[in-house]
Amino acid sequence: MKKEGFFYQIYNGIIKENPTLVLMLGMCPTLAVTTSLTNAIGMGISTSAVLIFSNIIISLLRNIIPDRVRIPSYIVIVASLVTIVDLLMQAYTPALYEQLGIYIPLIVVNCIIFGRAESFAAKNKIMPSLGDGVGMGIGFTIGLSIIAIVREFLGSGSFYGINIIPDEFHISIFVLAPGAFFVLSILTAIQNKLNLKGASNPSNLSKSASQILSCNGDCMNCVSHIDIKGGN
Amino acid sequence: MTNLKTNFIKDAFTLCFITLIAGLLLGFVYENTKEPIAISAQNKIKEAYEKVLSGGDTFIDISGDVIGASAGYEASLIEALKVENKNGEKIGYIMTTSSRGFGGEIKVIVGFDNDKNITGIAFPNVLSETPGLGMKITNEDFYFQYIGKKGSGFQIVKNNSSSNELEINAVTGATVSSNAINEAINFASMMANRAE
Amino acid sequence: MNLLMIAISSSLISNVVLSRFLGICPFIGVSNKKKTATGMGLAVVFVIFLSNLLTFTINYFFLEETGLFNKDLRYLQTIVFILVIASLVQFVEMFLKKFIKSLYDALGVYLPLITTNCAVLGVALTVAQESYSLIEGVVYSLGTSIGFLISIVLLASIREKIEENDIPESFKGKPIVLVIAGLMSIAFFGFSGLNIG
Repeated sequence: MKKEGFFYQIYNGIIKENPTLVLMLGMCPTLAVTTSLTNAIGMGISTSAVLIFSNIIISLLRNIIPDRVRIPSYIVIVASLVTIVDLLMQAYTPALYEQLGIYIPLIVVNCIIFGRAESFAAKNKIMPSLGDGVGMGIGFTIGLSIIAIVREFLGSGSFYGINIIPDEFHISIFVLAPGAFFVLSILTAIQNKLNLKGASNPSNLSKSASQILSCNGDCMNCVSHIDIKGGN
Repeated sequence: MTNLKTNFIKDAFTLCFITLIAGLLLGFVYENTKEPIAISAQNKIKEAYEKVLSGGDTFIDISGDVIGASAGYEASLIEALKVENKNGEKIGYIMTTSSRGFGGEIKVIVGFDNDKNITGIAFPNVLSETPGLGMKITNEDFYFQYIGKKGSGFQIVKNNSSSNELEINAVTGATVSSNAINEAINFASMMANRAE
Repeated sequence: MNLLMIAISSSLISNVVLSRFLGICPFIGVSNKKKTATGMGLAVVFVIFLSNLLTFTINYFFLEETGLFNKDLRYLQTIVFILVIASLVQFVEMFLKKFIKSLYDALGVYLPLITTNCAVLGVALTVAQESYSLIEGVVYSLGTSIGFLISIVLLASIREKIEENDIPESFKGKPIVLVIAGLMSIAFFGFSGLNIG
């Protein structure tokens, strides 16, 4: 596959640099809203919407925004998009909005969005940026969904709200806070075991990528991953 | 130096411009979603009212009549309504009360028939109680214990075996949440008793 | 009593990291050494405290319906708060660099990382949504940030302790950190039994 362009970026976002499973970005919502598949998908879609539009806008404005006011400009753009999503959800999906609560406005500080704006959209043309947004968005949604399916199944014995296992056999700890950590831990351990590329398995990533495990808490300067500079 | 200055002005100008556009866009979306948001909030409340006491058509605020000394209760009244059906006949009352639970406020809507028997209970907000524990107070298994009963002397007990109908089985492992909602329901019941 | 309840519940019972999952990135990212964890934790306490005072004031005077504009501008909270936090962090960094060198040496490197720490924006938004009073807000912000400090320092101490341990190959690195975090989270669940007030 060509290492540039729309479709490559979609593949990259879903598989190669999956933000949840490979780069381990945006951990707050990953752990917080994955108590049920419905919540996970809702969160995934709203984050994707913000990500896609912020990527498009920032890519369009990449030659207009002066370097020195880059960060405040991104903040304004992303925060406005999040507020718009927030208002739309409040109006048209009130039930989901209440479930996700404070994690909707907190999309603003999701590492994925600033990370992608800074490291990709600001340097690339609109089509690849759009592809990157779509790919990363889908990748994020898939990552959340996998964790949510496991937690919902073990913790409340259901799949997408449909009850499968009777009440007595629920392991409720999986829908509680500790369960989130355990499920993610097992997932990353499996990645290690299978020697898959992942944030927990830095030997398989290039050096620059291994330094950005959860960005070491630094999303703003979370730059350049594996392919962007044509390496690897 | 001048170069730096013009650059600075250009930077500031671009930033202001972006903010301005963003602000306009936000204002536009806000104005357009204001109504749907209000409607969906209203619908939710209406649904909750219908759930706790069906058949209501006119809701008359009577909070002025029922409010009074309420010492001993750790709950507060949010709304007190007298409910009439389409024909203007009084069919009961709806009291919205709140108390402090484990993770935050527990707001509860309680419906009463004319004899002050509890007809239904609803939770208008998503509670911030612990999922899997305190959150279970929103399960029908728990709050159905109140329905059809009367009075403001409900008590939370563990492993109830007596036949005293004012004793309510606590949610296992969530005594604080159980007591909080019990307090709110007792308070609502007391308020309903004062209503005419 | 109410203030005590807010303090205990925000710092221990619903701990910001272990039960509300805010600020997970620095929690996992900067917790390999006790020293750095303490620095990060203190910087967070400092920033959350200051930013909360600032966002509370702005919210009270400008965004609430009872404010100076007589208009309900609360939908602007997210955008205003994040801008305030970002500028505050910049400003604090410059200020410390110039005037309080010792503090800058201790906290400086962590400050830029804090803007995107969900906990900071999370506290500002929660205080606004729950309509806490100024004092309740201060107690809540201190409680939350001290809760963050406690948990990140604890995690770092445990990580230092297990450095030489024989961990199964697959669990080396991130997975074991997440297991520790999960166990800590269970331990913090114990605080749920606290019967206050």
